[in-house]
Amino acid sequence: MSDQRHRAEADRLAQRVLRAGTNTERRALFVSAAAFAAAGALGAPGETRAQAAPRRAIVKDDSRVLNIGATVRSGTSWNFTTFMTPVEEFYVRNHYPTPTAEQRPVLAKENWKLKIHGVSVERPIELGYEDLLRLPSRTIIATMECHGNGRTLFWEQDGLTGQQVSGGNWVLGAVGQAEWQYVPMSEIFARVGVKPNAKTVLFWSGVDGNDMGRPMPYADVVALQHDMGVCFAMNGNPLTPDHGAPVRMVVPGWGGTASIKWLTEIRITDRRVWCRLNTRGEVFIGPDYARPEFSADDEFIGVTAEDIKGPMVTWMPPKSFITVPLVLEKSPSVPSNYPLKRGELPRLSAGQQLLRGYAWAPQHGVRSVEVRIDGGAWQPATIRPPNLGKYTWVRFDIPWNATPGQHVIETRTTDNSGTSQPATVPLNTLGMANCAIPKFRVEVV
Amino acid sequence: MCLAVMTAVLALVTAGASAAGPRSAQVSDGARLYAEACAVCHGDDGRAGAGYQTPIWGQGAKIPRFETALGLFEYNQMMMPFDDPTKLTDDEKWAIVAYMLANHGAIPAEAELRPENAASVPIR
Repeated sequence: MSDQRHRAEADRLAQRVLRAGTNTERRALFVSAAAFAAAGALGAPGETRAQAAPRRAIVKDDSRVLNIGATVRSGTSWNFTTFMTPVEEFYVRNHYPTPTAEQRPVLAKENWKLKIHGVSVERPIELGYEDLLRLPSRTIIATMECHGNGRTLFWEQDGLTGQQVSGGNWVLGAVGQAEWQYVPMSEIFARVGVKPNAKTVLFWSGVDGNDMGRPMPYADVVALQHDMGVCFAMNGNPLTPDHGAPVRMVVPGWGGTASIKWLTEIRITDRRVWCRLNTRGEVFIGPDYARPEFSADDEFIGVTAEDIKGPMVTWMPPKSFITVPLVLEKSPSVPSNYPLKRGELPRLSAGQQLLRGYAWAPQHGVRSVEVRIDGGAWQPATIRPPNLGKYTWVRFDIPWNATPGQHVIETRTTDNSGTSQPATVPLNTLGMANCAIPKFRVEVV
Repeated sequence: MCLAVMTAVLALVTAGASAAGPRSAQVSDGARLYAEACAVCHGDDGRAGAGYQTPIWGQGAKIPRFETALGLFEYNQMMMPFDDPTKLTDDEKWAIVAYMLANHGAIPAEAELRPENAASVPIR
């Protein structure tokens, strides 16, 4: 078959499956579309498939991020220097391979549609890409952080095993800061009209796997309605495929999961909604956490009441780190391109040093950052400008006269509500939101 | 004579859950690589492991959704091992796929999977 006919076949298959297919067919679409795309790239019939380049789960050049798994890349936090994180250094958290316009034609700007509807919506609408760009929009500079960032501390500092706390080994780099351009939810609400019975806003991707959506309580969306919204640009450019092109949500200060990528649907409903990303994932499950309330009248998407085990993660807590790689000794796995071997300490030069780091506390903003060496007194670090409000991180530094030998450096942020990072956080089996004071072991030579 | 033939046929038909009979070099390699790189999450017998509890061959496995050996290879090429898909070569992954499909009964244990023939090997 010709190149063109292959592509047309792939498009027809994609449209059919997206409209009416089963979940199994949607998953198979990754593989069959890859086969079509690869075969299409060969040109002459009869050539073997083995010559085609394999599809990658992440699209962007990943030479500046940490490889922690097929669909995930963490930031190299020890290399961070800038206030704004370049897209090439921004962590990627996918649950499935990045869907592209080639595999999912609906992601091409000319095809993309956002359906905004639901029993609590007065005037349901469907927006195309150009429609969205014509709406009033804002930019906001905000960090985005994975819920699992810092999970590593459960293993390294609390001595818990991979069975007790499970999940990817992000170390400390699953965080970045970008300028997001978005149409605020306040604008969306004004256009569609919301009925008084609204209880939940469900943000859903119809093209990212078959279960990628996250409900937010309507009251929480209203509280954030100017600061969160439907986003189409990151750091001044249209979204790239790995970061949710063409359109995603941005919810500043909540964990990255709330900012659903490859957004195709916003549904406002009058019930609580339960789906994978607020039951089997992205929740606190542990002895210190109470099972949330639910009722048989709630809406269940692909899950049952038995899957409800703990409260969903919402605001990310205060955190900090210095630009030194954390020692990985007890973690179940070490990322393949980590700069240290298992158990190896990073080396710093003896003499006057300037320890540099980042601190953030999106719910209330950073008030102060302190550092201590070898369990001594906490010393205030100097926060460097700019500080553009509660959703942004700050860079800090503190001088240290480093003497030869092994040392432990700890950093602690306090936010504007007076909340400081604790020494440890309670166990939760999914390893969510660990904001414990990190301990950086170093070897000074 | 008739009984021997019937027994042999039965043995072939019921070979679903394990790679019975002599193995090709590829399937033997696959068995070794599986034990090193896959068993930790998928279990020694592919039925249930620490990381994933759905069987990946035999009864209850969902691998028919990949339709052919090629489909299964492409999935593994991109996505597995879970923590770092780059740590095995394509040849190593073909061997593991051959081992899986021999266990599943999709190919005989003495067969060799090649990129050229993989698209015509169905997984049912």
